[in-house]
Amino acid sequence: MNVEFINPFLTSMLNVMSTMAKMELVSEKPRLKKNEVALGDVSGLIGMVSKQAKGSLSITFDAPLALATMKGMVGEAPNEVNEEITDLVGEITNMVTGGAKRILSEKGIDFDMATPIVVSGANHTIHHKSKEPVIIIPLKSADGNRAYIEFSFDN
Amino acid sequence: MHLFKVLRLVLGLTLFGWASNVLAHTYFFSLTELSINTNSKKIEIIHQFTAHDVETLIAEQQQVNFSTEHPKYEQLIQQYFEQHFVIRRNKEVIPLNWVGLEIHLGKIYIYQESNSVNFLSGLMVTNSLLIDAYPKQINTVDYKDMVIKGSLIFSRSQKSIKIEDITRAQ
Repeated sequence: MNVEFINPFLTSMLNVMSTMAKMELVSEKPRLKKNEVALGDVSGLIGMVSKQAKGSLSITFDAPLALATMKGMVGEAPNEVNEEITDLVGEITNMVTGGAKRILSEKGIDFDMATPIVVSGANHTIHHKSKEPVIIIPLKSADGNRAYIEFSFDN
Repeated sequence: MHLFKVLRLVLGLTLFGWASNVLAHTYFFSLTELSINTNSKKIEIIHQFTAHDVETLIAEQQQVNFSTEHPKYEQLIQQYFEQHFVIRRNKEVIPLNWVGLEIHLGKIYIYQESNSVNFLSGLMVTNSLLIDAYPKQINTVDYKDMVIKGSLIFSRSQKSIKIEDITRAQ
């Protein structure tokens, strides 16, 4: 998978979390994901199509990080993952993808985005349609919770 | 929660399992940067919004088709922003000059500046931009001068917040 295509999503995610949630995440080593079980508790998934690639991106949050993110962005948060949190994760997925879209557009790569879908619950699974491997990048917060970005694109 | 909630992406995204489809974003976020230019001593303000959100609101308010093609595009946006973003010191409004706007890839950037102001502490910021139209609109204002910096979050339940001298700039 073309790194030039992936980096804008990582940059955008770190930027959204920093500017909107006032939270600095540290990206850890990317790796191939071997199964479809999400590593966190609530996931936003969005499909994308461009002339260069077609695939999907998901952003999964550990529940405590999702709650802390809402606290940072909205000023208040519930005690557990609820509809407010899933709405927020859907919007974050939108914002991250929108930010990446702007970065990629400046490189001449334009793509269309679908409407994000949000799934929550322990052991929920994420199935990327692409036949290419799924790459996952963990992002660690200061308190040790993580978000995960997954990508899979057909070139 | 169910153990297996399966997402299926079939080109346009077909879903199997328990999931919520976020058909339209329920949360709306904006970001405003408010800082003092150390040379000019003016407050410089940059608002970032999703252009579509602003245009939709003004279209509804004015009952017109509203896009960049509209002859009063900037004028109507200026009017709206000047009504809904206000800074006061000791209850007196600090006039904000309209510098202009830019649209870039779906984002609208709006620029305003004040006349001479030396410090931000004590300013009362009112930001009701889009809040009345969108119940879940959240407006973040990041502020910074030579002494303090911080962030204010505006929502339907809180449209005015005073910048307190709490956070020291690093």
